[in-house]
Amino acid sequence: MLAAWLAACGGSSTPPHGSPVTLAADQALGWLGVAPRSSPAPGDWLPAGPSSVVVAMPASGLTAGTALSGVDTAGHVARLTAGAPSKLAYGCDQNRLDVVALSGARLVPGPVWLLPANAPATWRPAPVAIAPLGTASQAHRRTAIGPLALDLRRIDATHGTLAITRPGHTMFTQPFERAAIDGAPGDPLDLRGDGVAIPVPIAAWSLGADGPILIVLRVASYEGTHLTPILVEAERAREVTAMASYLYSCAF
Amino acid sequence: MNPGGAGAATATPGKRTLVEAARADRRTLSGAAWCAKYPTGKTIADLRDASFKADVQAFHDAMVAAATPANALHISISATYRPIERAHLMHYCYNVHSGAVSVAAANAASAAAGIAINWDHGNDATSRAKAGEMVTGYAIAFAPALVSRHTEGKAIDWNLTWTGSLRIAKKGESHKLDCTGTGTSSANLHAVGASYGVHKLATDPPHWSSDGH
Repeated sequence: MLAAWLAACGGSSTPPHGSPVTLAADQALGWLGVAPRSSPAPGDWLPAGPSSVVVAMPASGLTAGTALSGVDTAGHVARLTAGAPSKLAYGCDQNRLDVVALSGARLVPGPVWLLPANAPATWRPAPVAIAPLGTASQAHRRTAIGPLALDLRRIDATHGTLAITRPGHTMFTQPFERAAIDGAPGDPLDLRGDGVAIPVPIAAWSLGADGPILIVLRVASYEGTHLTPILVEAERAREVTAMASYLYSCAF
Repeated sequence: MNPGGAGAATATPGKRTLVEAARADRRTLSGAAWCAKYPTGKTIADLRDASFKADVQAFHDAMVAAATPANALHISISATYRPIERAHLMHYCYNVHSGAVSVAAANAASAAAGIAINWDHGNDATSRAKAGEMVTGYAIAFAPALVSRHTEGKAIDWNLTWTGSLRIAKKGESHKLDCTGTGTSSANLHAVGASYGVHKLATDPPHWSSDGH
């Protein structure tokens, strides 16, 4: 039924309706992939290539020939087929990422939620708007993610906290730290930008009218990019480590 | 090679003519061709710090010796030693392209470093565009450091993966630790690496160095 709904989307999802979707604790959520650009963009973290989507290894359980649906940040849905593990040119020094590349229609460059083949029929994944709330400062930044707010607060020059809230209810908190590495600038964390260690929401989807919401944080490191999914349900939120990925770019 | 350049033509030539000064300039103008020079090492043997090289080799050999066929240990090295010249060129092309450093300052720094590159193409727009060609050629996504553990030959970026439990002892010990996960996630493997003088930087999955930085 999920497949039928996705097919009915005709390439674009519709806003979700109905009661909140309930997820079992052990519910597999699929994989987090990236839709590449068709050609490289200097300085950009997104890879470039002909595939519809790539998933950085280990991509556990995503075997060659698997057919599944992917939803991009604009709500476009594509039927995709996983290929065998392969290499993708990415980053400096002729670096090649180990990935599973998926074929299918091209999607909007950026994160793509790859839904498991056995996804429950109640899922209606649709993108959630991400927008700044107020003017960010070096020490504080607030972002609206649908009904949620994501706050970044600097504690000291290299530490901060991330908090995800519903009105009147803190759902998730996590500290972050910019580790010291020889040769790196020593400027204090500046939360107006997307520098090393600063979590930046770059995608979010809701499975139903009232969630759950899957948020994707991009966190730059000195040598690459972390994509960290956070699942926010009605009463709790958690990092989905099984979907997290890292794209190594360049020695620092 | 492209001897000379617009920068030479604007330099004070003394009693020589500008043309003579340009001809005497042995520098090569900045551009994408520079990116192929001074390649980054991708083997343990490329590490320039002899002590760290020995430590990494010993850690590597210990992992290989400890692994069973069922572990299917896989070691993939992305980068080891980055020549200081490459780091210099990456640093200055990034900063000239962004406008953070003037071509005059970059030329002075490169001359001091003994690198015969001329960042000055005669006008700011072309100079920055040519530096941008190098940014693209190097595939730079983050401001490169002039000096880092990689330029010191004291860092290695490698992916370490295996199946199941890799049972391996710290250097000089017989008790084997149960390492599950990957080189990124296994705290026990990090402890084993540290016993060999190869330390994990937590935030960057493939990065290990002489001190974790």
